[in-house]
Amino acid sequence: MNYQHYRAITLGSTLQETLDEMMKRGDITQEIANLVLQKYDKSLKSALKEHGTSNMTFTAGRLQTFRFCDNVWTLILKDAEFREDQHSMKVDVVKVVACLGKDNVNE
Amino acid sequence: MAKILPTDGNWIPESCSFPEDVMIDMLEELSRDVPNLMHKEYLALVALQSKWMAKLANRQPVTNPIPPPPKKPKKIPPKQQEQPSEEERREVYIDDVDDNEMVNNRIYIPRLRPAWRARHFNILMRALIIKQGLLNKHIHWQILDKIMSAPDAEGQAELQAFVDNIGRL
Repeated sequence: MNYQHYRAITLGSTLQETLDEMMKRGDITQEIANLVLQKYDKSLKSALKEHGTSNMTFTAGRLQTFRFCDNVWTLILKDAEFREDQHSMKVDVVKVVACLGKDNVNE
Repeated sequence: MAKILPTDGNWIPESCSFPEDVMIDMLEELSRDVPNLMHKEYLALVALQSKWMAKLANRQPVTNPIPPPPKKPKKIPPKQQEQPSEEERREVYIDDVDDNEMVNNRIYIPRLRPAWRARHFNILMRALIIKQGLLNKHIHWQILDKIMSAPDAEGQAELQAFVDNIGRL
């Protein structure tokens, strides 16, 4: 199963905007657009598996909210700091959406 | 896979190539899984890739600004303590001076009260006042409080006026 929540990131939202514009001009059909988005979900999942090699740790000053629904965790952290070796980055608000990594049917 | 460190301090190359990797993989999968793709649709997908990349390029997040280097502390040369210039003054034995001769007497007042600081006043007076110790006889707390709480020039003037009055007695 490929989650669709990566459609909300910049890469996904720019793809959807481009598809909407092309559909309005009649360059592509709705069917092709849906197919593109499905392939996007799958490709992004594979790319994260293959190319996402960085390991970072993070801490947060406060866990503002937490939610668990349909096997999806949604956390909102305040005053977070991400660290990788000697590099660090501070962020005011972080939203974490965590889904099950393994799919028993397709993996 | 070896870790790639930021080259220019702003972007990690690994992060730069990630969107392109996703696009290429997606379009390859589409070409593979949709065998009956029409030429027009194929061209549309090629156009999709270029439009998508252009849109993404305009949406790059603002990188964290590199903090300015810490300012080097200014080297302040050590203050050369000013050597007090030697005062030109002539000291004489008071007994050798005529009673009516006006002499410059430096009066030191120690820190008799916590709020005071030790001060001195240069007062012009007749030698007789010093010889007879008239200043010690007439000085009182009221005048001391007045001159010690006043600025230098004002205190000096007040004490001079006080000593002048003693001289007239």
